Amino acid sequence: MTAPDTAASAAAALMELSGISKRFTRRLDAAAKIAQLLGARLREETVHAVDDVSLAIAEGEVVGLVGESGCGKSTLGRVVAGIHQASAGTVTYRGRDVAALEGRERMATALAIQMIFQDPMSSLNPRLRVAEIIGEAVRVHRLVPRPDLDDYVADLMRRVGLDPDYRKRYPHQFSGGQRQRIGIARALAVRPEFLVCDEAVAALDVSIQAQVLNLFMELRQDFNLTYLFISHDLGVVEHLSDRVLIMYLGRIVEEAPTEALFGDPNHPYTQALLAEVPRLEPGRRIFKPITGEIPSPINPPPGCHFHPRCPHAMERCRVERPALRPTGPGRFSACHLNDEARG
Amino acid sequence: MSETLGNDPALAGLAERTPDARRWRLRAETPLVRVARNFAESRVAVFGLVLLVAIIVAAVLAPYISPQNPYDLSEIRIEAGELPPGAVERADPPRQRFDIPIDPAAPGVQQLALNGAAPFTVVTAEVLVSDPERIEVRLTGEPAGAFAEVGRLRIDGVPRGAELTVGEKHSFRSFWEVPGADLAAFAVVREGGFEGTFELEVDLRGAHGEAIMTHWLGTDSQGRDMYSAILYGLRISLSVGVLSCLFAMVIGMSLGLVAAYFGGRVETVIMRIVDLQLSFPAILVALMLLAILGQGVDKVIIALVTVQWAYYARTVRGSALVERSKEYIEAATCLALSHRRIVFRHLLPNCLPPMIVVVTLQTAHAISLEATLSFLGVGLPQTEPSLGLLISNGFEYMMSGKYWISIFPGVALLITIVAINLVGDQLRDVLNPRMRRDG
Ligand SMILES: Nc1ncnc2c1ncn2[C@@H]1O[C@H](COP(=O)(O)OP(=O)(O)OP(=O)(O)O)[C@@H](O)[C@H]1O
Ligand code: SF4
Ligand SMILES: [Mg+2]
Repeated sequence: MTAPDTAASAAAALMELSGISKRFTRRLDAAAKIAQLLGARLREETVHAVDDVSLAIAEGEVVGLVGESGCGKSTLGRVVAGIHQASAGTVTYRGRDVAALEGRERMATALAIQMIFQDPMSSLNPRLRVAEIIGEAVRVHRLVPRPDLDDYVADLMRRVGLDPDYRKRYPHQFSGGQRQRIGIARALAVRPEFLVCDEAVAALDVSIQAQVLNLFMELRQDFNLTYLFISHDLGVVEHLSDRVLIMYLGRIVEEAPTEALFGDPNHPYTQALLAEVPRLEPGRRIFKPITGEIPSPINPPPGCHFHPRCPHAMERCRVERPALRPTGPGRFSACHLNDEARG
Repeated sequence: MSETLGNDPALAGLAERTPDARRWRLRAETPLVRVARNFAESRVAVFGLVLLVAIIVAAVLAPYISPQNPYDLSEIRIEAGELPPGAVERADPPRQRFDIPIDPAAPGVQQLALNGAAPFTVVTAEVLVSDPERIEVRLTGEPAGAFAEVGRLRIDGVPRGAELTVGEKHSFRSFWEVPGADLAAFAVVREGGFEGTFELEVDLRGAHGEAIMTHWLGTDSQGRDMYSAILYGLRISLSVGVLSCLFAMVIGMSLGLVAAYFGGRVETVIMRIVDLQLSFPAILVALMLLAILGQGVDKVIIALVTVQWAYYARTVRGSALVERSKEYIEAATCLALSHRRIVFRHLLPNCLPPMIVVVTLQTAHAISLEATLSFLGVGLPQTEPSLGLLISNGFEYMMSGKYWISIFPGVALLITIVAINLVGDQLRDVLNPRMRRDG
């Protein structure tokens, strides 16, 4: 991972998000609007799935993204992968605003960022043969000359650990692990630089999870890939990531190098998450679930989103949103406690 | 992954234990085979399918298997009109005319060879003037039995005041009507003798014509074979139904897919139109349209498409919304594939199975709708009579007891629709197990 030798480049990120928000609004249909006029209490519901997130990912880095279910990890991943348009904020890839790109560049960037999905069944079109699933985009975008396409697909299949003889099969004829490999081959086929893996192993048996994770790491070496690795499995993230982001209800609450984060979590939510992880050390199996329900992203609590469940919540937490502030080398955390300690 | 290994617990257990990499082997049955096997579970449905295939084959091959082309005017004879089921249609009976010149002044026997056209190639009359008041005539024809049976013999030219020894004179016309059996011999008698020569004009007619065909389902008022008319009508009904369904499907599915895929305002507009369309009774809309457009196959198809596309749009949107949210669509977006490719190559094929059911059932619906329109007289023109039009044409004869002209096309329509529905219902059970009526 040789950094380009311009002055700014040492810090320049491959992928940078600034102020990204993603809101889903359920609009009222005509009937609901009439009902509303007649006095029914119906309102447009807006989900702040991602709320003002900024982050930077350097080339070659593996960044883990962790959070409870529904906190907006997948949504953030989809914004990064270009599947969702952000409601606000900009996504910058190699220094260029992705939304402003046109024509060839837009296409090149779209292909450079690929996503691996959670469900190995629903992420493959059941009506297409494996060769078509993997080769379609290559053929459509003419990335490889026609006559070489078969060999190209066969190579990819071998590379992800599939027998190229299976290329004429349909997805339902494969096991979960094999399907996930097909999904990986499909993404690799367009020669991406950046992979967003959304719970990419969560649906697999534990033994298969390890194989697929190893495949990811091999590919990282071979293809010089950068990863945004989304998971709710802290163990997987700890094993894989250089850096970890902790997300809570649409916001990044802590960001730190993996070792630092697992060794010394700063944010009360991170601490609670880590305490939840069942450790395999005998005798020291503290299992303390985070108390309270995850608040609804439709009606998030004001101030710090975590305050209804935070053991350290103060008056200030209920009104003021804590900013993501540096707490150490490469570390950021969004908690008022840090100010208290300093001030 | 709900479709595991059928319901054999041993196999299912095995699959749990075998390494994941080998599981597919146990699942090698292709979806098509599975659908066929599940379909065959219902005997009634298989019967329906066989029936339907037979109906379709009959309709397609109508020109080759029907005994008559009911719309070729040279093939139908109005004389054969309104024959009851099972009646045999016969050609006009054979007929022969010849004149027998008689000279009463020449006593003795005269052998006369007469007009030798078919069916008797040779007719001989033996005229015997035995006494001035009586002339015996004996007729023989060859070959013998050319008239299977002589039905009628008319003899004209009998001199005033003379009488024949057989038959009776017509009450006011000049000829004599002679029963066929008496053909062989008769005499002309005149009291006071004959005055000069005269000619007997004999008009010979067979009792039956040659059998042309048996009308197992009777004939209509024009003498059309109902069986042939039904085969041709089936052909028209089926093609109108299938064609209108195909067009409606293409239009409806495209709009439904676009609505589901793009969402937002596009979806709102399309689905409001669909709601509007579906809120009017189909028959009413079709009637109004045809009142404006006039008759014709193309116009009926337009009307049927107009009232049916919305069903397809709504059904396909439902399944497309489910498919759209699946990750393979996101993957396709991520691979920068065009919207058109995603909609028609990824979304569409996955929405097809439930559509097969809708297409089948809607075809039945289209056929009966067309029959209704034709029955009401606003559908197809008389030159392209579908089953509905046949029913309608025969309806006025119902009261006079000629039930077959209307009932048989009705039965054909009923059988067709029931067969399609049997197939459609079973397909629905097989393809969308969740919609099973029996839980
Ligand atoms: N297309 C959508 N339309 C409306 N709301 C959505 C949509 N996608 C996600 N959401 C909402 O946004 C929030 C975040 O969803 P997201 O899928 O990003 O969570 P997640 O962190 O990936 O959860 P999980 O771990 O369960 O996958 C949820 O409340 C979800 O209901
Ligand atoms: S800001 Fe307050 S409520 Fe939020 S995590 Fe920190 S202490 Fe807890
Ligand atoms: Mg998710």
